[in-house]
Amino acid sequence: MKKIKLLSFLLPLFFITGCFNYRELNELAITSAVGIDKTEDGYKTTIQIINTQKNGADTNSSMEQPKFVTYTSEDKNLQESLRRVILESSRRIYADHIQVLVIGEDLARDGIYDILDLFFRNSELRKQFQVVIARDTTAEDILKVVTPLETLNSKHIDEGLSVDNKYLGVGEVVDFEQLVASYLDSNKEIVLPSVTLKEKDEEGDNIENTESTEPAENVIESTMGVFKDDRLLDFLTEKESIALSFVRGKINNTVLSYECHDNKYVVSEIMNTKTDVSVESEPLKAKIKITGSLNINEVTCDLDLEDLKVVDEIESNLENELKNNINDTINTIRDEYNTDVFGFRDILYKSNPKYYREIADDWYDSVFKNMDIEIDVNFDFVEKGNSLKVIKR
Amino acid sequence: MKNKINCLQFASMMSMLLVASFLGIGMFSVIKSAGVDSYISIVIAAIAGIFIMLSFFVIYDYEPNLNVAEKFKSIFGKPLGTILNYLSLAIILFMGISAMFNLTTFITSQFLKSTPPYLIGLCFAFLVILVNIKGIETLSRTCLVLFTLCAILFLISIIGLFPEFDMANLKPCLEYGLKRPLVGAVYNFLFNLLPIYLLLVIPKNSLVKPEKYRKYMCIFYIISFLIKFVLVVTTIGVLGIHLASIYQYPEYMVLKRIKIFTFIDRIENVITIQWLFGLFFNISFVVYYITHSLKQSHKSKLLPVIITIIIFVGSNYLFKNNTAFNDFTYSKVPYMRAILFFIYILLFVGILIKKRCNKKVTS
Amino acid sequence: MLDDIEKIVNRLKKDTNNIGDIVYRKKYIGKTKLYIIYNEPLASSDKISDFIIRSLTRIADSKVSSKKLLQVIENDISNFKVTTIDNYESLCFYLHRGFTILLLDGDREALVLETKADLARGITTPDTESTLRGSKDAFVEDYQKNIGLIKKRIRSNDLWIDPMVMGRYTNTQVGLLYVNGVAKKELVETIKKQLKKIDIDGIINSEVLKNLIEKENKNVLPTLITTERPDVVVNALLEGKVVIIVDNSPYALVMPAVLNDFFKTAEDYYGKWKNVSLTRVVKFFAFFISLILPAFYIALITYNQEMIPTELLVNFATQRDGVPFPAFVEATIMLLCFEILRESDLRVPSFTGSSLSIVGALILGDAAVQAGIVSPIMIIVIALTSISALPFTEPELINGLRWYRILFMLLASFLGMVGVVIAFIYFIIELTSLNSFGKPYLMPYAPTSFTGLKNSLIKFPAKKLKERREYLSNNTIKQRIGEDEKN
Repeated sequence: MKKIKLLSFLLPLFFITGCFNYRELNELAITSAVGIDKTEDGYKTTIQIINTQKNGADTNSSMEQPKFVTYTSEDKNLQESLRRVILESSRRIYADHIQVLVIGEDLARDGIYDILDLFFRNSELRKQFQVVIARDTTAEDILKVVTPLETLNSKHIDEGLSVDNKYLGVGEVVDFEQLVASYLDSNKEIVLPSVTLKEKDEEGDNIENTESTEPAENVIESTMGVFKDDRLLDFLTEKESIALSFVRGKINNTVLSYECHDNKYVVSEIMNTKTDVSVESEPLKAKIKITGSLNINEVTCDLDLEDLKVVDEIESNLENELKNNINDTINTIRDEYNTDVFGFRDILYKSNPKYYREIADDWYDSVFKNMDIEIDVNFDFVEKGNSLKVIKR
Repeated sequence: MKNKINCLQFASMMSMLLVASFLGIGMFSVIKSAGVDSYISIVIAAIAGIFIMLSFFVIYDYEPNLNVAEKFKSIFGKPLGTILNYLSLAIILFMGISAMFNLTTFITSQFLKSTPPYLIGLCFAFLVILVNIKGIETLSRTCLVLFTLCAILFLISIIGLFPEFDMANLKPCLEYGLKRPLVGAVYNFLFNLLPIYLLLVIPKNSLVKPEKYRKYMCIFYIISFLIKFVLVVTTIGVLGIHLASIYQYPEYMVLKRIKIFTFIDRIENVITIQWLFGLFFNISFVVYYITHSLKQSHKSKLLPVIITIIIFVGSNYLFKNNTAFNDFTYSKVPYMRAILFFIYILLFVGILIKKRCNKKVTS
Repeated sequence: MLDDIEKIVNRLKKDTNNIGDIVYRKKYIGKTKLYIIYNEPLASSDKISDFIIRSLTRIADSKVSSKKLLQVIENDISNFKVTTIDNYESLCFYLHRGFTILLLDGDREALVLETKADLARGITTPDTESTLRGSKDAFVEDYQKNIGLIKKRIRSNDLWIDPMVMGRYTNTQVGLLYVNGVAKKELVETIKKQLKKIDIDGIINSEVLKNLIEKENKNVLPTLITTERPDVVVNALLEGKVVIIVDNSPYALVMPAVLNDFFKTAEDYYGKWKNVSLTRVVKFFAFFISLILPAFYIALITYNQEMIPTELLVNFATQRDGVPFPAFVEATIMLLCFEILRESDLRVPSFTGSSLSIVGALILGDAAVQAGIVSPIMIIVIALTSISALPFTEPELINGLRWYRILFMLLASFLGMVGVVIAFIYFIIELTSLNSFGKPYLMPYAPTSFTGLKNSLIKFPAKKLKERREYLSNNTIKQRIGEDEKN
């Protein structure tokens, strides 16, 4: 045991040389969002850092400090431009709590492959942050906006995306790991949601933006962008985005309407959706089966809701409406963009790899465009709310 | 009651040895060779492992008061037995070095990036020396406690990963036939099932109720097989095969996805503790094996210290970085392990022959 | 030889420096000279005058020959407890025990009569281990009274006591109790051997004896229970444990004690099994919180910030803004303040308990937060740590945990979570290598014993607790009523 005592006296000698990796909280700049834009000779990165200074007796001004701060820097490759932020900030960048990565539209159209590697390889980063594209604007402008209701801009984007996905379905929540998985798998194509700015005339990047009831500038979620390989092709419309989400099975809750007369609509809420996509080989046919339940939320047409036949007719009208939407979307994507974001290729590979290997080379040339797609929508009508009949005199 | 261990502790030591070496090399080699069908290779390896268990029972029951080094000498005679003994010791020393390297590299690359790896290796080496000086009782009781904690953490991780599991990630099944899973099964067999033989160093007399040990060993063998199987299936099912083959430690990365009740988030560091426990136990058991396989007269308190220092120094200087280690382990180490397996098979065959000779003599 | 009583009396007077407390009374019965010697502070003068003097006067009236005088006195004297001695050492021994010595001139033997005074306080309620239910008597400083309290509860021939006298100057009476047929013989022999090896000036009370017996245990954690409640002692005896009672000490030593026993209190015998199980689980958590929480917090704040959810991290960072010290120094300062407050609370002459010191500490902490020396979250962590150490009745356990807590904090501030893991493995190694009088310290858990597990973390209902734990006793059947109930 004497030897153990000797060793235990030697151990502290190593510790006296200093604790490595020791970081106090007030030396860290906690990053909550990163934005990347393309410039002529490299990248421009914007970093959003949470402001952890104490309010109150310390500060001289009577106003509150903004809850986050943004820094920008430019360099020829991504890691160096992120490192250059050190020149501007007094603290070391701590990127573990990133919530959002915003990619500028120009960069997305050019190809996002180059930026994937840095974030993937860094072991200090958790890869569960959301990735969005900045539409019609730069990532820098998105990250500078002070948003109402949420003190942190990145939280606004993050929560906004998930709320949107839960209740409307225009954007799909894609986290970074899923993005890289889709990229690595040659049978899948990437889709990403987008955000854009809604503004009045004034600028919105100071705290006065939230002092009125309607903010001057706000970040709003927009539609999905479809990619081929790693390039952004274009953004879809809202209807097409919802239909795409239906086919990919990522809808939780959404709203669907059809027009019965001029400007009179029956609007319903769709819940508990389940999508089942199967691809048969020989002959090549894709079958999309969507089931869900239906609540009627708003009726402005003159219909007799107590009649069972009318209800059934509403149900089948809505089903047809969705079927047409999906059909149109598939045709648009096939004809204009020619990218298989629906996942048919992947499903065929997983169910019948031998057949897939025969036709894999011509997928985008002929097979995908001429594929037979059968859509089957089946909704169950559940309830129509509090009122048995339509309100009328 | 000196140096007597329970059958439950004995079996839990076996389980710990089998599961702990799966981090790093185990998972990496299986996924690299078998891809999506890795779980099939685990099943095949487990079935082949039944042979190891049967041969273990035979070797263990023969002359219950000798440990494995002495058994070598008694079957093969002094010169050949000593050579075989030392050869197996050299390979097992290398096993310990790679486990230590695995541990320090894992910790340095994921948690403490600026800390030099020798510092962490020093702390663990100190613990290994401490356990070995206190004897087999302490080692086995510690193993039982640590194994219980590992099992609890494992259950938590499975419950947390269950919602993220996607069955489609495990298809297509057997796309290229059975050849690739078979290669993966050989890797799994050599890396993760061979350590059962390490338990031969504890002579059967040290067990409290020696007749029950088979039952416990079979139960714990099935438990460790289930753990490995569920681990592989969950890793590939949650991450998908492309991500799992590109990550350096996929079984750690998959834990980052756990989100229970929306507030138990970011607990991957707590669950990783199970591998720290397991690798620590691996290293300490290797040191114990080597200490007790050398000659009786050398047995003193200094011997574990020397062996641990050798392992510690070896793990620092033998491999330059993780890439060299991965490459070496994937291509050259299976042959070393195969030699070790062959040595133990020789012992098994020798015992069978001797038993048959004895039967002929008595009948 | 006690023939020449004048020589003996002179020798005694010289040895004790002719102290006035020892009273020598000369008396003549017939022609025989008698000396009555007693030790005034220790003997009860009423008993001496009532029993001895009156009987002797009565005997003196009836004429008896001097040869048979000793037998006659021994037969007729009113004292109940009478012994004969025949050497000087026994005379001194009994003299210092409060007995009265009757020396007869010319007779080889002398008589020793029991006349002890009652110098102890009366039987009161226990101070340190109070419970809501259960009997409320506690041990006092008198050996016979303590034995009486135990014998009152085990009224059986099988309660065996081995008395010993220990200490060169103190000659303290020490008793080793066990139930014959339940306790294991080897355990009793081991403990007796240990006690016989002790050669020391004085045993003041049982805690001193505890330190001497535990000398082989280099660990900081206790391996004996000290208790002042007779019902705890009786329960331990019935399980097969050995109890040592020391004169002048209200605390009895119960051995062997494993870690599991420190989680039990006297209340556990009286409550419903479900409620008791919940309390035990809470205590289990309190143990680990008190051990690991400061280290865990330090590791989270300084090394593993990725384990904290983002909003909480922002809160912590805002609170720590402007605090000059690193987290480890902060934690050490606050722990030191709490320990000082706790120690001073024990010396304050009022029994308001620890709640006063905790409130005081919180106010002190609040002022420190306002001054910007520490952050509020650190106050919460340290207060929770200190409070979590208090549900245990054995003070040695609480004090022993401090060392491990410091080790955890030290390693956490150097290596973060990995340091906590390393310290935890060290803690487990220390616990599993500890033996309490031959029994492993982590008994129901590490060498797993199923009968022991039924009363460890969760207590099983009384119907299932029919057996004693195997490691304590070979006689394992405890309850027989359950079998009849089936009919």
